[in-house]
Amino acid sequence: MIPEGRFQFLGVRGGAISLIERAMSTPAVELHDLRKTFAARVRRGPGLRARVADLFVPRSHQVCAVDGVSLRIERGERVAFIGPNGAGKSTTLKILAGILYPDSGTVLVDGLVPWRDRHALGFRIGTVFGQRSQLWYQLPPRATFELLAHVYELPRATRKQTLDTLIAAFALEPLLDRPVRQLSLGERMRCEVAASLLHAPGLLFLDEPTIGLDVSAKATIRELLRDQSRTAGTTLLLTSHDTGDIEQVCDRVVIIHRGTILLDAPVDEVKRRYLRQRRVTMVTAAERFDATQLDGARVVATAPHRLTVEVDAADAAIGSLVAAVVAHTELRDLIVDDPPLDDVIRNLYASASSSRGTVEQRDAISSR
Amino acid sequence: MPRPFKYLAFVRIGFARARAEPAEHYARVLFLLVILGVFSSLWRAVAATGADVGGDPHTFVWYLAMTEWVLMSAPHVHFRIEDDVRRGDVAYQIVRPVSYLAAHFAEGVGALVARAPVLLAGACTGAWVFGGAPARPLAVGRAIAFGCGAALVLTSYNVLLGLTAFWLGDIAPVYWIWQKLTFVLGGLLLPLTLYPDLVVRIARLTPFSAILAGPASFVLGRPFFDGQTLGLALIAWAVAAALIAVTTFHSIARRLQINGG
Repeated sequence: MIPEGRFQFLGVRGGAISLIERAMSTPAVELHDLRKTFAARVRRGPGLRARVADLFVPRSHQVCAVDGVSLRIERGERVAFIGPNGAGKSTTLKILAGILYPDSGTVLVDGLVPWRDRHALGFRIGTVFGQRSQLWYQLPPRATFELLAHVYELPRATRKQTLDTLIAAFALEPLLDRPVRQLSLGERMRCEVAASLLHAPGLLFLDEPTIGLDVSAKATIRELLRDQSRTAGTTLLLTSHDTGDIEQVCDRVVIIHRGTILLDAPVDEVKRRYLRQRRVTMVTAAERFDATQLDGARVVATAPHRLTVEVDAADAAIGSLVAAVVAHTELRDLIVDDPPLDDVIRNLYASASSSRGTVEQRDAISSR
Repeated sequence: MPRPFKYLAFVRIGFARARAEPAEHYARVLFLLVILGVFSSLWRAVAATGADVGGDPHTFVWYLAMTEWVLMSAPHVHFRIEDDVRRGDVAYQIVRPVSYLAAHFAEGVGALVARAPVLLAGACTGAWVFGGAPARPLAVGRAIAFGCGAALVLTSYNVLLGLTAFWLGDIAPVYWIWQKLTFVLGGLLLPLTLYPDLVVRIARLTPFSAILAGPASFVLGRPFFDGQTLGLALIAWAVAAALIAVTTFHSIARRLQINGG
């Protein structure tokens, strides 16, 4: 029996069932007007006098990393949090994980205030930082897994079963007893993600989880993350510069620039709304085809029996295009590609740049 | 599982990590033997001139063996913390439902448990070879018993030293000063009883004398502290280190900035 008064602050009226329902309806992440600034040291310049002055009377200026971010993420959602370098995405992630304190704003992660309830939150979230490691470098991954099983207080009875499930899912058996320093980056990242999932967190924060990985390792990590989210209902919040991570893992994309949210929409919608061009590849019976006959199409590539053009998807131009081609030659195959997300994001950054000033490191968005 | 038992897992991993690097132990033992060899030759040479070295040079070798053993057994937890801060790995550790400080201390204890017996064997062998059999075997036993406690206290101060990385990034300047204070006020190379009165009085007010000279001076037959006082001093300095570390870390956590994106 749950004493009613104890849970009044949650608005619980009807006992345990209502409490569970309430808990289930609590969003995984709720941010409101989050702000965070850092003090950055400013040097007076070269020379001994300036150095001495910097030492005794340091000057600094405030850098606004997060400027009024509001966001709500439901349980089980897979959200990509993207932006150019210095946009504020990693800072936001670190505030959500309870690592950093915000200057102002409200933050609830699984109903907890991260920096205040850091200990309790530790049991509910997992973190993967692509450029950091939680594995003991000199020891095999098994040693870290065993340590984390104690840290997260996994019951002895279920510890082995949990570990075995992860080992099977992430194909870790051959890696378990090799020192971490002997593992490839891809193998290490599989171990890092598995280590973060050991305590079955409801939320997983991932900061550039595929950075530096080869194509095959990236695909493996993405597949594992997507499967984990689908099967266990794990909420994913992922930052990345790699659009492949966003397209292949996430359903929703939040674009942040200079500490504010530029866009928050489903991934598919972003592609449709922000890049009106479709790329159409046609395989024709004719070896060469005169593309000047196609109105509104821009030729991207030509090859024998193959022509790739871009058309405006909004004008139902694909139908006209196909009609124009079949009027002259047999059309053997037709491939319509969605616009590359790279281009969408680059366009968004560019428009933000023109309205707010230059976008630093716009080209940080990597090609797939 | 009760929370304190979690830290046994850190002790185990610290032990395993230290065991995974046996070359480091052997290098430390070799260095210890070289130090003992050099200083025993030095004291014998000075004594051979007829000068008063303030005691028996053979006993000094045992004293030095004990101070060096304590100093070299305490793991360099401070460099681990510095690495965490530099690489930003602290981001991982701070979100875990464990105390960052206690985890590092426990890991250090694990390394200490792996390292101390190897170094003790090296120290005793070296002292026996260069200084002969101990004049007071029971006193060596007391020095070892208190030395274990002193190495634990030194490990806690190393954790504290590591916390300066959160402000400075590079702990080398602080470590350099700390090391020199340990050498001088701890009486690393020479018993504190040979120092001027003023230095001795200052040394008594610092943890260094309790950590190094305290246990080692038993082998001289003129202990710097009696057993009970030394035990209480070590406990008091450990509590002071813990309080300062917890308070400092609380402040650090509020103004933490993680290196890297």
